[in-house]
Order: sequence, then C-alpha cells, then structure tokens
Amino acid sequence: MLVCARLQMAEIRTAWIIIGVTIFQPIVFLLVALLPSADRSAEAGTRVAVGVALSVSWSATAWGSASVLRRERAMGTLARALAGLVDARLIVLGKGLGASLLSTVWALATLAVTLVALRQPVSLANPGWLLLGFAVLLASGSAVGLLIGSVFVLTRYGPQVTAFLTFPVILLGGMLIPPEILPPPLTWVSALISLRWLQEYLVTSAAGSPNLAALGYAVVLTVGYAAAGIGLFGGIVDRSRREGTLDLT
Amino acid sequence: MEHAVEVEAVGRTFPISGGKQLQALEDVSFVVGLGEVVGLLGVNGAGKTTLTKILATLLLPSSGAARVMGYDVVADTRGVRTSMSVILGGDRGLYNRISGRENLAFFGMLAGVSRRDLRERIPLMLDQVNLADAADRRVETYSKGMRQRLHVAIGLLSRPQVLLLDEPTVGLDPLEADRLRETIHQLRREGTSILLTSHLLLDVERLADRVVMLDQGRVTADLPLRKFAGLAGYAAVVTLTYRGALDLARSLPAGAAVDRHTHEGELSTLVLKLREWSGDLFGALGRLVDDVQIQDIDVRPARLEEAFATLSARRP
Amino acid sequence: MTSPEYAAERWWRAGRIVRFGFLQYRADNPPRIVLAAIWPRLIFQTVFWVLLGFVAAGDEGARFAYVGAVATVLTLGGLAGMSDVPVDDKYAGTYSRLLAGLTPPTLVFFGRGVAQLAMSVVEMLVAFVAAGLLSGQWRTMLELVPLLPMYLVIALTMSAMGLATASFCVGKRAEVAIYNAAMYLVILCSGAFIPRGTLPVLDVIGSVLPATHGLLAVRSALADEPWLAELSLEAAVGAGWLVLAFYLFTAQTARSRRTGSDSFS
Repeated sequence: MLVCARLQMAEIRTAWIIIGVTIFQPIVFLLVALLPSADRSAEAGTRVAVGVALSVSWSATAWGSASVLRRERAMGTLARALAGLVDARLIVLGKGLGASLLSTVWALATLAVTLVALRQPVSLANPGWLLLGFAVLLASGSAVGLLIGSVFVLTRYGPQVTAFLTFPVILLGGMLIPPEILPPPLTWVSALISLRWLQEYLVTSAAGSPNLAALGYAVVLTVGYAAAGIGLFGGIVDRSRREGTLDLT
Repeated sequence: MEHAVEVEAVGRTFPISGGKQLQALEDVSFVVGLGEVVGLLGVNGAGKTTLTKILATLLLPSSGAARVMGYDVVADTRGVRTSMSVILGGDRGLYNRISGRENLAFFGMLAGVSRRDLRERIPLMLDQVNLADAADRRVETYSKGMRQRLHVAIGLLSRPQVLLLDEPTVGLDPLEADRLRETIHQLRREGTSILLTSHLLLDVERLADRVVMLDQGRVTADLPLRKFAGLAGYAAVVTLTYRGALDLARSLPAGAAVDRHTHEGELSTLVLKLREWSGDLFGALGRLVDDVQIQDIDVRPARLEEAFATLSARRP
Repeated sequence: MTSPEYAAERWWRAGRIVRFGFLQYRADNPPRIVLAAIWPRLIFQTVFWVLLGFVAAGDEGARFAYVGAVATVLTLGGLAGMSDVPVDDKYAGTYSRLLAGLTPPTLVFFGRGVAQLAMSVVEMLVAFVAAGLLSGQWRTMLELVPLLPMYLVIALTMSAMGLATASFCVGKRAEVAIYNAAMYLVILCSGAFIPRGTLPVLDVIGSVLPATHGLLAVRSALADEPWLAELSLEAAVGAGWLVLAFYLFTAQTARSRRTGSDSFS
C-alpha cells in the first residue's frame, strides 16, 4: 500500500489538475471568503483557513483518484491493477493516501504563503493536536478515495463525476459554510461527512481546546467509509466482471 | 505537365540539442509520372516521413522545391491540397467517440468535397472499404484494420489526382490487404498517381512501377522495379534438395555462388545464387546435378527485400 | 460554380463544422452525464458561492455573490470547455488532417467552439434558475431576467478567452493547469465575489478579463445606473481575446509547418 502511495505521489506531481486544485483553489477560496468579510480576527482567519484546507484536500483527493485512474486507463494499466495478485483495494487505498498526503501538504503551503501575504492572523495553539487531526484527514481521504474509485472503474466520465462530487461535499461538509445555515434536512447529511467533524476538531484545537468528541466522530465515519469502500469496490469489480461492464479502455 | 510529383534538390534540417542540426533530407530529387506508382523505401529514420510531410504541405523544406500537379508545396498549398490526398494511417488521426460516417463526412468536407459529392460518395466509399455495416458505430469500437480502412476511405473520398500512401496495409489481415491493393490497382487504372511508402515490401513489389530508395536522407536508388530487385547482386535463387554426392569444387558453373549447403541424413540441400538468368548457366546447372538424385528443385527471382537489405547494408 | 452557389457551399461548410462541434460535445458529454453530473455540479457550485457570500457579508453578500456566480458558471463551458476544442485534436492526432484540409484550422476551431458556447449558455441558464431558487435568491433572479442578454455578452467574451487559452495550451501538455489558472483568475479578479476596490491588483488584472466589465454593467443596471459603457468595454475585451486567439492559432499553424513540431498531435 505504501508503495502505491509513493507511486501516486509521483503520478500526481505531474497531474496538472492537482496543481490547479492545490494551488489556485486555496488562494481563490481564501480570498473570496476573507476579503469581503468585516471579521478579520485570528479566530475568523483560522476558521476560514482550516475550512479551505479541508475543502482543497477533499477536492484533491477526488481529482487525484479520478485523474490517476483516468491515466491508468489511458496507459492500459488499470486492467493489470485489477487482474494482479495484490488486492486492487490496497492499490486504490494506497493511491488515495498518496493523493491526500501530497495535496494536503501543497494546500497548507499555499495557504501559509497567502495568509502571510494578506497579513491575516491565525491561531495555532496546539500543533500536536492539529497534526493528529491532519493524520485522521489523510486516513479519511484514503478511504474516500476507495469509495470514489469504485465509481471510476465503471465510467470513463471520471472528470465530470468528480466535478459533480466535489461541490456538494464542500457545500454540505461544514468547512466553509456553517451547517447551521443549511436547511434542516441537509444538516443531517452534513453530519455524515467526516470533514465537518474534522473542521470542528481542528478549529477548536487551533484555539487551544480540542473537541475530542468531534475527532471521535470523524474517526468512526472514516472507518465506516473504509468498510463501505472495501465492500463496494470488491462488489462492483466482481459484478462488472460477471456482466462485462468494466470500462478499462 | 509530365509529372504528378516533382522533387528537386529538397533538403530539410531540424535543430537538435547543442545547437546542432539534424539533416533529415539532403538534395533529394525524383519525380512521379502521371499515373505512375512509385514506392518510397528506406529504413526507419531514412527521411520518408519528412518527405511525405513536405509533399503533404505539412512541413516546409529547408531548401529545394517540390511540386504536386505543378503546384508548389510552399507557395500554392491550396492547389496542392485540392489535387492531392494523404493517407497517413495508424491508430490515431480519427475522432474516436464519433462514428466512422461522421469522421468521413467531416474530413471529406475539410478536403473540399462538395455537398452533393459528399452525399453520393460516402456510401460508395464505405462500401468500397467494407465499412458500410459499421459506419454508424463509434470509431473507438473499430479494430485496427477497420481504422486503417477508414483512413483509406477518407483519403479517397476527394478523388485525388495524386495519392500519398504511408504504410497502407499495416494492421490489415491478408484478405483486407489484398482488397486494398486491388483498390490501389483500380486507382492506378483510373490514372491516379501514387507515392507509396511502405515497410511491407510485398506492397511495393505488387503495386509499384518504380522504386526510390532513401538512406540517411539521400536518394540511393531510383530505378524501375525489376532493376531495383537486381541490386540484390544476383538475379535468381535456386534451391536443390538431392540424394548423392556433388563435387562443387570441380563442377560449380561460373556465375553461380553457393549460399548454403547442408546435409541431413541422406538428403542434402544446396542453395545457389545466380548472377543472371541465362540458358548457358541453367544448362551448366543441369550438368552439375546429372550424377545425383533430385528430390526437389525451386527457382525464384531475387526478391525486393534482398535488394533492400543489400542496399541498406552498404551504408558508410 | 456561380457566386450564390459558392456562398451557399461556404455556409454549408460552416454549418457542418458547427454541427460536428455539437457531435463532439454530445460524445464527450452524453445527456445522462449532463443531467446527472454537469448540471448538478454547476447548481451546487452556484449555491456554494451564494452561501459563501452570505457567510462573508450577510444578505447583501449573498445577492452580490449570486450575480457573480451566474457569470462564473460560464468559466466551465465557455472557458475550460472551449479550451478543449483544439485539445481534442491534440489527443486524437487529427491536427495534421486539419492542417492538410482546405479550411484553415483556426476557422475549424472557431466553428466547432460554437457548440461549447451554446452549451455554456444553457448551463448558465440552468444554474441561474435552479441555484436562484435553492439559495433563496429568487427575487434577484427575477430582477436579472431582463439583464440576461448582458450575460450573453459575457459568455461570448469568456469563450473568446477560452480559445486564446487553448492556443497557449497546445504543445505544452499542460492544458488542464493553464485553463484552471484562467478559470480561477476570472473567478478571483472579475469582481464576481470580491467587490472592486478591495485589492487593487485584482482590479488591474480583472480589467482585461472576461466578466469584469459585464458584471459591472449588470450591477449598474440592477442599481438603475448607466451600464452601456461597461457593457461596451466587455465586448471590447472579448474582441481583444478573439483577435489574440485568431493570431495565436494562425501563428501556431505556421510554426507547425515551419518546424514540423506538430504541436497538436
């Protein structure tokens, strides 16, 4: 799995869409969320910066899974990955981990530079707790990569499907849009997105009083994504083999 | 106008690393007569594709001049493109998610085929290349051979006076390849001039009147087909399978050379290369084998690939 | 061929090229993908921007963001989608065929781009209505209905920039990064979400980008102020991008013949 993660990192270093997502998107989100706002306090800055980091990490994970699978299909290596001796789920999990790791690092670096350029204060009260939160974010990203990968082995329209998936999660995940302002039925959906809890955990950690319950929710949801991803990916590949619907070319 | 294609002292260089220049073509001159089929031969990197691109107006020559049906490939691209069609072939060069028919119509329209001609000729061309049944399928579902046939249909749709064919039978099965050769014969009978680039010497052997050989960007031979085959250094190959003993040292006729002599049990095989077809030489051969029991005898003329191999091996 | 016949033939050719663009669009984006992925994405995207505007600056922020978000929908089909028109030839290896044809490749790209332009306008209208209703901006939506022709001008300008962007992309194998950069540049600098005057450098860049002057015209019209000058500037920016695109493609074509680089294949 770690080999796949390293491979994925090498792959997405040359995947231009990831550069777009991890460099342009954080700058734009940060400026659009901060500049028109009257509240430029450290607390507001932290909330927005964490929200942007999580949103970008999510986009990059989705695009990373899509573009690498697209590339594998183009190079003809997808069929080999699915037919190999190593469980394909481990390969996709590893790739998800690689995409999350590299994109999160890039996004954080871009955010740091932009925040400095804007002279926007942020709080970083508890780096250790923050790091723990980002570790859970990586695990969550890998698990989600597996879930998305299940869809991508079935369709050649990965970019369109990815684009569709990104905004609802950013919208409902409580990263930049507080769940309280969403209509009540959507708040319930929001509670099923691990990023919402990670947002809460990271913001409270940065302020010095980590909300461990939120971290717990995020971990439980991550385990749930992984279990669902493992089941779904295996099921879809098996069914597709039976029905001949794998889109490998 | 006597010639369909005229190439006069054409040269082409490409910049490479270190400020150096790669000489892809140097002082290349030859002609293709009206209605003539000329085979353009050469190993990889000999300059065939560069020359094809120049004639197709896709690339400018660095020096010299080239004309197609009297139109200059640099100054009068419209004239060249109206009178000529190029079939580059291969897996690419088609819109994969669009049907074969739509690809054909689009490229035909770009090549200047009129609305009425397009309507009439598309079904004909699809029939001719045996794609009528698959015409409305996406090209991505086509086999390699079907794609190649679609390339051919696109090239022929505009009824060109001159056709540049690059590896036309690559990817086709033997039946399809024969069918395509028949199409090319038909075009030739109708007066189309053809410059044929191919690694498959069988294509050249069957289709070409004349052969132009390129090596390292230069023309190394420009001869009628039969004379070109003679460049192999011999005119015929005789293979004898026999029982008994031959005294080659004493009775091998002048003008024959032993290529191979092997023995397996009581049977021996002797392969001789003959410098020329002559009654005297064949008579001498008959006397040579008087004392042995012949099991099998095969006589064939020198092949094009043997000439090609000989010429290619003469590189400095 | 008589002169009217010749003209009819030319119109027929133009029609075939435009039609082929639609065929390509449909092949790349079949109806089920448009309905299930592309349109919902644009609706969610628009709602997201409106809510972000609300979080940053309350009701007025949401209204401001809605007006801008409708224009930024055009960055997908009009800008990125348009950039894909010549990139399709790069991946299909069909550029040499276009180059050997009688119709200049530049005109072929422009003609095929009409489909992208048309579909980007449809996408904008879908997001305009659906996101307007979902985000509670229906009052602003109704006010904007008579101003939709202004968005049409923005769509044209956006597509012109898309074509010019594409000509930068070809031969560099980095088209996704280039048109992503262009998209985000427009979102950031056009005043769609960040009011002009907030960060001067954004205003300077935005003055030559699509949507900037068009959105100023829309906002002026909403405030019952004169808008024609800004709309004219938007059209001028579009014309500038179109001329640049034409020049770049023509130069690419000439360069391709000169160097044999075959940038598109």
